[in-house]
Amino acid sequence: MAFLVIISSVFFGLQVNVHSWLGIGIILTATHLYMNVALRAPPK
Amino acid sequence: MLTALLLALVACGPCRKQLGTLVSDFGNMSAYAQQTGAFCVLVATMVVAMLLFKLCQVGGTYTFSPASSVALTEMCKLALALFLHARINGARDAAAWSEGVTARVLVHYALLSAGYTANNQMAFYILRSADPGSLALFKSTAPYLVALMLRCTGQRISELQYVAVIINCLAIGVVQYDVCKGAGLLPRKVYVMMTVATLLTATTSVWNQKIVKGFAVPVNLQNAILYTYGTIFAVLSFVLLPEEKPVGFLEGYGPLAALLVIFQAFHGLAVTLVYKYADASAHAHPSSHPRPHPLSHHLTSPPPPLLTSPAQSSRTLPTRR
Repeated sequence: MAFLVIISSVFFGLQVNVHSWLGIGIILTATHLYMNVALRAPPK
Repeated sequence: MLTALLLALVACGPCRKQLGTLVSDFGNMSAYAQQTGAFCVLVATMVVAMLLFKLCQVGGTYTFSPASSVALTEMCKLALALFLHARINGARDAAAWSEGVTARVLVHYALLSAGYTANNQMAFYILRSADPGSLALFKSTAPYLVALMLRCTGQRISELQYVAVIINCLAIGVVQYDVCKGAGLLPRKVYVMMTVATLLTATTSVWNQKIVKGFAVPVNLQNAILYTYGTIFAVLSFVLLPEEKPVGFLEGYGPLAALLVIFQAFHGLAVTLVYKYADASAHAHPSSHPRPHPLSHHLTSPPPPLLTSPAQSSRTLPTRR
């Protein structure tokens, strides 16, 4: 996703600024957090 | 277009042994190297798959019909599924070609395939206006939607996971909102299409997981039925739905458009390899692989559970540590 955002900002005119990069960082962190919790959850 | 397809098929023959050696060598690497390699393959595959949609465009539009592209992709997959069911599963008689197939199964496959086909075609229209990064950001909510839908069937979601879902949605708002304009970066129509596509992805994922996977139909036959329906729906949409610039079924296909068809048809193999060698966490994006690839069950055992929530994937996928 981050790669696609970088490529989109360079080649496809996606507007990015400090806020949006922070948002992308938060999305990646939230996904990582979600995955970690899901993977460590005990089986049903 | 046809030449490219034939070349790809011819090239597959002599490469089979080398491919087998490559896969075997990959299997002998350390767990860390396997996971890193699988992750890189997955990232590269997903990036190329999305970028090809953009690279095929000329002046912000396609020179070919998106419906025909989806139909050709479905035909490639159908040919592979039929070949595998006939040759590898040894299906010779009528009984082998109708094993476990009932009217109920056919109705489910038809509806599921309609959802997949609509989703696949929508990707073309979304990426005509949106950039791949925005679509990837939006689609990052799909695993959460799948998990929330599975919550209704009894799967547990912890408070921390709910927090992650909320933070993720807020962050997408931060990325996509233009403060100066007081609106989103993209037209409202595109956001509606992306929402529908993401909901469709999540719904078909849960449907596949909860209902269709329970049918006692061999994987290749199941794929063949799905791809047959997919081909029919795509051809019907080509014939019935109006296009801005009407073109013939095989008109406007350059090398990149042909590559898009081939890549869409066969990139599932790379994802299947990732399932085999990577940890479940490497594959967090259900939208990346809408349905089982015809070769999936020959590369992995058991077949990869597609479009599942991360929590479920972790319990079903074969992992190598």
